[in-house]
Amino acid sequence: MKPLRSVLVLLVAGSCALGSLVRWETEAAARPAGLLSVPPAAALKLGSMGFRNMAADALYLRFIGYWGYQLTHGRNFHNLYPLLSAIVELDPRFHAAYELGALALGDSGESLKAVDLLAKGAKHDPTNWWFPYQAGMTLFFFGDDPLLAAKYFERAAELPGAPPEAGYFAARMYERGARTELAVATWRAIYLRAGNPSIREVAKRSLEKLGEPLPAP
Amino acid sequence: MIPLAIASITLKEALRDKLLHVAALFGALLIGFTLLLGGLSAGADLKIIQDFGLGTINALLVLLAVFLGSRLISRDLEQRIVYTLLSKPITRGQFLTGKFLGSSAALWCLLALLGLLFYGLMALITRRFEPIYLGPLVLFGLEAMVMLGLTMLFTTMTSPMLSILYALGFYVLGHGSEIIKQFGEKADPVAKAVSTMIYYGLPNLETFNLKNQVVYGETFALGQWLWAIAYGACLIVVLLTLANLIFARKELP
Repeated sequence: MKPLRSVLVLLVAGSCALGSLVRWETEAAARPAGLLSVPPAAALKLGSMGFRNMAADALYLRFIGYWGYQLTHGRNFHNLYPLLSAIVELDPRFHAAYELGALALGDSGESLKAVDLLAKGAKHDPTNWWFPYQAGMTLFFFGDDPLLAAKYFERAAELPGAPPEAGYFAARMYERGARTELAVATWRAIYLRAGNPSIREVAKRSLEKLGEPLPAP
Repeated sequence: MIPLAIASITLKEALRDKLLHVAALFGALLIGFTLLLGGLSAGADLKIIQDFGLGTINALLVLLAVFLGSRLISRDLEQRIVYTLLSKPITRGQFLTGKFLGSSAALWCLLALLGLLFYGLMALITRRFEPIYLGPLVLFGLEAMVMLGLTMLFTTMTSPMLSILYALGFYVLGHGSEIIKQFGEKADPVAKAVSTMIYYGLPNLETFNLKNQVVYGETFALGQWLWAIAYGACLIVVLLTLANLIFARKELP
């Protein structure tokens, strides 16, 4: 082939390739937004071989991209839970996936799915107060079941290292759920156990507000 | 001494091989690229840099071991070097061992280079030296040697292309044997016995996989690490012996 003809072929073929790419991008942009395919977790586990953390990271980056895009482009969240579930199945210690995942699910109106996701973490690390505490927080901010939130806060408060406000939140959630007797019991427990005088003071004022006597030490 | 002389020549050849240069360049680029990935991760940057950095080194070593192993004997046959060598007082076993040792040394050279790059990157980010990564890095080298031995064994039986496919197939099975065992435990006694046989019959490559735990700062028992090394060393001896047995009876074209 003569050099001039080769250059011509290269120019034509190159232009056609670029044109096709631009058309492909236009078609891709016209697809319905918010679709996200997720392979089954079992297949991912086998397919990722010894690279489970890397596979979880890759899916997590995909989640971040998808969630970020949907937050600003119509909020069409689909398949978030299967994706997040696959991430934590591959890497059960991936804290950021639980944290951001619960937030994304709660924010997209799936607070119970967020609690399910955190339950997977709690199953893997049952003595970690953070998982039930975060479940309580998610239900508090995004859910409409204060009693369920109270149960999670109460569970968190029983675990070692839990922040003192976990019990406080449980009592407040019981109050909000109109379960005065449970709220009173929780406030009393806080009043008796709290080492911090300000928390004790909050418990005291809350019991007084509910018209309940202070428990004897 | 003879295997060491062959190993030295093989190492020199491997260090001149473009495959190794491409692997080193690609590895360096990928390790640098992890910085960018970490920046996109919204709170999991260090974890992602470690996962991808260690994963890159591991994957490249295994791939290089398979490709080097597949070409070791066939290239010498094509270039007629093997006939010159075997006409001298060199046994086929010595030839194979020398080839294996030389290629292993090349793999360790790549590991050292990429390991240093990874350490440099981590030191840059965390401002400290973490000796914990040495554990998985050494096991990466050992796993690559096992894969090299496995590919060499297949090369003595079949073509280089098929050797690559078989070796990669064994790699998948070697990392999934735990899953096969778990499936068997839920099945009937016959299936359980079969899955147990498969589990113990296949090289368990998960033994060499510490990268997923060190990322979380989880230490590993020295005993566990030493037993993994012992397991790897024994596997290499088994694979090389099998390869030698087959190669000794092989009619050279």
